[in-house]
Amino acid sequence: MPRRFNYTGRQRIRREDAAIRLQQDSAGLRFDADLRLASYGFDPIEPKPKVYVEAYRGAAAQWKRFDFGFVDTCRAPTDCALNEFGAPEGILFRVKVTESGGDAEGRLLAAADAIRPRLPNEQDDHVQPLIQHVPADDIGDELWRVDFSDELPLLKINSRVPGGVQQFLLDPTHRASITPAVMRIVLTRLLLIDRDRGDDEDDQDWRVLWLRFASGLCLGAPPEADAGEDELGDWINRAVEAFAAKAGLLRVLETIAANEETP
Amino acid sequence: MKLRRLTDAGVADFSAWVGRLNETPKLDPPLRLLADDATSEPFRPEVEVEQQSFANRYEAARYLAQKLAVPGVLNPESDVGLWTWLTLLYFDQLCPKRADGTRKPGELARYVVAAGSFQRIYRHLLLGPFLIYRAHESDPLAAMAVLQSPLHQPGEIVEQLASRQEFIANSDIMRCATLLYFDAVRGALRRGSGGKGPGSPRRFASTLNQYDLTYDLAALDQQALMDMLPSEFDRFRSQPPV
Repeated sequence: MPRRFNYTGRQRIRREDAAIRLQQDSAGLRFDADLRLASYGFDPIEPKPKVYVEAYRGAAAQWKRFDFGFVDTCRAPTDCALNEFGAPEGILFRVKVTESGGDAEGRLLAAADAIRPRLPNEQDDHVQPLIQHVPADDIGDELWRVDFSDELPLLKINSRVPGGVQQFLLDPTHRASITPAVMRIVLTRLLLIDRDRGDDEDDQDWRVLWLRFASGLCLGAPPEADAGEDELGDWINRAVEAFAAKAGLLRVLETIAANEETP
Repeated sequence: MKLRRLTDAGVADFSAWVGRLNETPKLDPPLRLLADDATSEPFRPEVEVEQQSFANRYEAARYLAQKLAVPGVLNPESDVGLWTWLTLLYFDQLCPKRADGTRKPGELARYVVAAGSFQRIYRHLLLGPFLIYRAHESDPLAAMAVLQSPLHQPGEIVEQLASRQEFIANSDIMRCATLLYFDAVRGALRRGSGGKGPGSPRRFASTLNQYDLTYDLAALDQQALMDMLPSEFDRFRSQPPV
């Protein structure tokens, strides 16, 4: 089923117009938001619409809403603390511009969803990974799992792995095994299970980003949406093979093995 | 007795025991973990708690909210050891014995908060109602639709509405749910509210999810939300106010 219906002319706020950064220091975790809403045509609307920013993580557990005032005087509240969220990883944001009066009070005029903020200490030109990883306590003895229950897929790594999650991911043997499998799981999910290729107009849509990455591996675009499972499955296999070849995954293991044999 | 918290070892032991309980349903709870220095430690600041029975999730949440609202207690919701200790203390109410002496615990997330598993926090049988109560501290009775059930049986409404934090935290949405589904005279859910058909809590959650695409639900008050609900909710909406 298509994810996005827009029956009311709700505008999409462009990612570049809703830049959010997390800050973390001795004072705690908080966020800054640079919202540029002047070009969306809200000026003539009376009463002035309101702007809200919501921070959330996971579909259920954590959510906090911040009132940024009216659209013509939009500014962050004094308190933008997110201490109850604990760690900065996995926090997403929504920006909403809402009718503030009359019969249409509460109607969304514009919104941006699933905004990934810059993490603390992340440079502005940092390229965000296609999939974020998080430590997990709820996957039993599995070493890792791709979780799709949130708005963005997350790579869960068992928090009990020896040496810690970061060390686990940095190990070249683990990366060689995990990365193609993760790629296959994600592409299978969006092309075969959900049959949802994302929103072409949203260049931060995770589905769009993954397909763009896979297509860029000298493959070209995937088969049409109504293609059969075999055809789509073949394309996924070729994409994963191309990735493995480009990353030299087999060569990585051969090098490790050769080094181990060398006295 | 003095409130304590389980150590990591204590949480691991209790988690393992819950796993064994699923296989051997007549096991006795490992109450020794509550006081053993190897598996538990004092909670700071010092708080007194009593072994007592709670009529429903509301009573338990109110009690715990009062006990934990003391100076020096910061973010108790993130203390897995605390909630596991409390779970073990009140285990007979969270997982009561059936007539044949067996217990049916179900998933571990009901008894041990899965740190890092944000989606399951509201499934914890004590932390879930505690968070809901605290989110509506100024008017907790408004959330009775999700707090009226027995501790061990949260019910369909909780399952549906706890799927999204912004619904649970929204006092107007909670008031709507309570107006629709809670009979304050009987102190129980209205007849017919446990189903899945038109006007059910499942449909209420589904309708809210639909409206969320078009409306900023947090900007709407209770009356506006009730007025928006389609006719399938009339049989509950037309009930006399309680």
